[in-house]
Amino acid sequence: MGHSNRLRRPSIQKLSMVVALSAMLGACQDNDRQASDKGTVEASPDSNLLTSAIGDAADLSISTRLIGTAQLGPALDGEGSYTVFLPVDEAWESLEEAELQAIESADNRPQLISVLRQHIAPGYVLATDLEKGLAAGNGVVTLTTMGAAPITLHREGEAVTLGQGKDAPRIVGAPIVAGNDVVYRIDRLIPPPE
Amino acid sequence: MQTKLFIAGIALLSLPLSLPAYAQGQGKHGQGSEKASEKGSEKSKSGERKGGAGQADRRSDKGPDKGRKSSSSANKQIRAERKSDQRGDNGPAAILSRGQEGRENLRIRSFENGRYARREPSFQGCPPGLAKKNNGCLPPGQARKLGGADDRATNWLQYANWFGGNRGDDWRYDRGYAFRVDSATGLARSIMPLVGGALFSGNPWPQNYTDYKVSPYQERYFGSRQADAIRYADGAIFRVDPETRMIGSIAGLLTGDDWNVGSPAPKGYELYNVPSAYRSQYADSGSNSYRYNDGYVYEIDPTTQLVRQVIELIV
Repeated sequence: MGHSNRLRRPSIQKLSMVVALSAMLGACQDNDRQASDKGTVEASPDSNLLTSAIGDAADLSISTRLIGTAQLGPALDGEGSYTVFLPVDEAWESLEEAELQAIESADNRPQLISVLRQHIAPGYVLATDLEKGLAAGNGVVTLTTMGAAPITLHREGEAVTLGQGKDAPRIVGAPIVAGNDVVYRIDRLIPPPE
Repeated sequence: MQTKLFIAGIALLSLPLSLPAYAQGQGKHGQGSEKASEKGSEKSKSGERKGGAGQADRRSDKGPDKGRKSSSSANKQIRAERKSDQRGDNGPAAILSRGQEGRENLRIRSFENGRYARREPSFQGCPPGLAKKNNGCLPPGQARKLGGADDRATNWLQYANWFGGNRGDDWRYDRGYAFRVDSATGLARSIMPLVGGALFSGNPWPQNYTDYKVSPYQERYFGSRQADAIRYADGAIFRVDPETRMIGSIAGLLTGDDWNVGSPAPKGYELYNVPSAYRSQYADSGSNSYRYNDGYVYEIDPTTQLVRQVIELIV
């Protein structure tokens, strides 16, 4: 469950608990993951605002809420262009309730933002761009992020995964195009870089 | 605890950092949707500006001129697009082609051991005055309280990018700030306000913390012509009230990747990512590749992968 990193002091323990996300997800989520990669489907513009577009997506309600908590809405809706990989609600719900509550607390906001930034890449990467890049890269491309490390996308049959292994997040569904931004749903959180 | 100091492109702070107690790091909670709503009207303006993708006024003296349009033909296209543009005053401005001008203020991150290292300016050293006042550099006991050896490797720190090659070795987090603790003295020798902590809506911009002014271009790009001052810290652009110095919102996120004309493109830009409004103008071809980052579009030689020029998207 990824809780091996218990620390002595409660405050640090709390922080540890909050962002031990990847390991927790890796254990909590099962393998009944959707394989319905529709990366080749190009979504038409849904909205000029990313926050509005994801707010309308029923399966992104927790990601939407967390972006609100982090107050990243103005940044994502603003002039900059971003490609965002957002975990669907099931991914967040696989966390323990206390952990999800902790990551939404004001005390842990820098950590929350660090986690979210690992899910944000610069620019406007449409599904067709992703497919072209994967084809040119023999099924592997590296994408820089706003977070702590780049992510590597892999073509795994019909699916596209972020990283490798059975616990690697997978793109599910069609991307949402909103203004300058593109949103891909993923079925797990992106793990922290090793 | 070996730490490589990343120098290139980074102006380390030399000014004392007087942090008025890190308790200030706690701002209002849950204002995102409200801000997003406010942004709606703003976006409509900026969307107009960005929507039509102006045309580059490329300088012929910028890098190799392989397969690019001549300046005159480009300008003709500019005029044609401007003429057809119906967006009024907020319509797309001509895109300027520039080298490194105005980008020196950006904090550049490096890539070390598979991850990014962002060497933010922060207070270096512990002046006696601050140490006595306990408002920045902390006494040994306080430093230990921030985190001893047992607290070094909290998992969430793995997501942060301000540690560099020895992340977590000597950094501590507490209430919105990152503290770098000298293991020999136990004193905090660097203090960094973090986005979401001290750097958050409703908080004052940290007093005496060097205002990282962004380039005039990025001020325009992220400022949306608002009256707010634009500041940069911890990989984010902030709108700050110029009078009260209160942080209004996070206006953008930056990678801080190091793009330089004549140098290879940074790692991680294998996918075409130019925003939609500029795609017709900056489309990949056999002779040119284009990539977007931090408000700029970069032209790359697809053969050599060297950056040819930096293009500003608005004026």
